[in-house]
Amino acid sequence: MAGLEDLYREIILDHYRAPRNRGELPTPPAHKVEGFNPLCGDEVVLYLDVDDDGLLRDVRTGGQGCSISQASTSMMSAAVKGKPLAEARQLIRAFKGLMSIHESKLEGDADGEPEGPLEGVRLGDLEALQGVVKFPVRIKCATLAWNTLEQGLDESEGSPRPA
Amino acid sequence: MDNVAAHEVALTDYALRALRSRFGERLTIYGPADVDRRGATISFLFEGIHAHDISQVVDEHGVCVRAGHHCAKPLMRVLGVPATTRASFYVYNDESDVDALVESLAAAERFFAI
Repeated sequence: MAGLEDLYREIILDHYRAPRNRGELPTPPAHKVEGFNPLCGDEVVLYLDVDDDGLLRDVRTGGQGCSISQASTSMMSAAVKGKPLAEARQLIRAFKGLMSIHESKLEGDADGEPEGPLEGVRLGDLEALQGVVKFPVRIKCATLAWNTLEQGLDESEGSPRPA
Repeated sequence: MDNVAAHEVALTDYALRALRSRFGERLTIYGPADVDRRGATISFLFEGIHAHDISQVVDEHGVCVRAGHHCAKPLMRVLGVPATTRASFYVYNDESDVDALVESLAAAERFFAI
């Protein structure tokens, strides 16, 4: 039986209490993207500053919601800030893999290693969110920030920065 | 049915008093303060803790509440709150259930203590 400490790991509560990279960036040049989970009301706002070399130079976050959604947003911003877009996209895939439900994971078996091209992607602190998988209704809270990031990267790559 | 209504009113009165005296201003209770003008449901906001986090913790303590918009998102917007937690009572509940709710909320408060 999964307990509260599986869901609310100390590092998650730390990000919830002291969220990183909160704020806004001027748009343009930054790209603003919003994500909502209409079922529970979680809301994530991201400001993404991608430079001409494909580097995610700066990330700022806003929004409101439960501790999991807001901690996940904070942890995501810390993980991708300053990274090349290709690396950020790898992290998105790896994190979504971490959040996908496998029976082995539900039974507490830790064999859920990512396969193929994701081998070698280091999730670091983000692995603390793995316990969320044991609480299926909360998975969407954890993935909202990452889905919003993906949407924002797609949009900003589709519209190059003004010269 | 009068007995059912009387039971609900008495239990709601007990719950409103218990919640107010234990949590004071940290807990905002919506709806009329007068038990004769409300049903046996209590929708509330706990300062600094999102409703979904409240429901997760009280669930661990065996207390079942509803959390979220309650199919009333425009009302949430008017109240200026992200979501509320809602406890409700009926014939099968008694004061011990209210006490369990209060204790589980105290546990949530300790858990998310900032």
